[in-house]
Amino acid sequence: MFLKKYEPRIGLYEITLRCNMRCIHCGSSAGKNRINELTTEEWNNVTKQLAYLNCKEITILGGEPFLRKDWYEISKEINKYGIKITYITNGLLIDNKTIEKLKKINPKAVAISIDGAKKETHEKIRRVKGSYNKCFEVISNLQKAGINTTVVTSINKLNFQEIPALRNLLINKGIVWQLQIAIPLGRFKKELLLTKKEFYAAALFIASTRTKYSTKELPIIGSHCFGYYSKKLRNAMVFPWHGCQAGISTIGIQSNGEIKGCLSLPSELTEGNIRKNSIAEIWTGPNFCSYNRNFKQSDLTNNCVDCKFGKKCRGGCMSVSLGITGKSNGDPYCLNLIENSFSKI
Amino acid sequence: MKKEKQLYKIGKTLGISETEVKAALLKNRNIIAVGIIIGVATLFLNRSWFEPLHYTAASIRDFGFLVRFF
Repeated sequence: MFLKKYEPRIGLYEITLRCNMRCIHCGSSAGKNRINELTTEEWNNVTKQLAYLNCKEITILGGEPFLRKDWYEISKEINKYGIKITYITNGLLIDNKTIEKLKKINPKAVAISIDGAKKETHEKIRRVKGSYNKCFEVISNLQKAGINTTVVTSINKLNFQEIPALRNLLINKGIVWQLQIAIPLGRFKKELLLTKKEFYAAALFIASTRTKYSTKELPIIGSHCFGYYSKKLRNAMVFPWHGCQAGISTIGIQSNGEIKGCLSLPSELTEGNIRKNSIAEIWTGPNFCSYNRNFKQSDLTNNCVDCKFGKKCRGGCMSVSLGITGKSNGDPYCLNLIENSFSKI
Repeated sequence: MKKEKQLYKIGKTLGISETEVKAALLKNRNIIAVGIIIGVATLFLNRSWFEPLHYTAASIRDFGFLVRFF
């Protein structure tokens, strides 16, 4: 009945770093492929190993995952082991043929990025002309094919004011909407980062949208950066926060075989390479993701020091903390923290 | 009350009315419902349902009915 404490139940596959977009907020600075990316056989071997370790769900992403011609072979292998699949894509390469293949895979969800209610905003952020119309066309085709579709929006200063208008475009379309904040990692410039007040307003927007619209009209969720332990708002993330899951229940594999607890983390937190060791060896290593597994209250930094939720929270999202402050275990974009300093914001 | 006024002000930046802000506030019944649902689910269901939400939000579909209480 009870699951193991550390088990890679969620796998994240960056199957290539190659991308046909050059989004201004891309945390991986995707564009060209990495040197010596894993072959189909190597990815299939990763899947076999993860299946053995009781992996339940794999998210395929990139770069742009559909740029790899073998995405279908990799997905079929995942299906073979009964592991659920989700995709994160910019949608540009999803044509009818791809949709037919996707129907055979039967993914749990295909997530497409939409970063503005206006065409100009979306294309300014994603830097590809014509991508806005194409994305909506693909979403509609996926819906017609009966494939669960999620829209992912990364909020920054350029699109913040368009969030309500974007909601109007997504209502009653059978789409799940996930909102997240763009973090100053990779290509994203810090000056476009939301202020704490804007961040709080976005969380309030998510909470109020959930009360205003039913889950049939618009299921909405804030990603892992929309926490933590608010005393005022209904939970934007829907489910309670139990700390960063890197190395606890999540494992990320880069296209060159490097392993991290989560793909959002910087390269300094690489834990090994599947070309040198098996995943089981890396996962069970004594120092694997020690920032989470061997966490101590004294590891908390920034304003998280002395927080009563610190032990459970471990200072929020590790990549947000590192991206914004340069320090781990101290995510300053915390609803509880902001509420405590309300009069100052 | 002071804090709620600040919330209304913050809400205005995204066109959220005072009534909508009030509805979005955490109430005891939300806390109790979440406690019961999560408690039961943690004991009897696969915990992985709670975890992958931050990548594609796919799991929110599994919880369609329950999400309204959260």
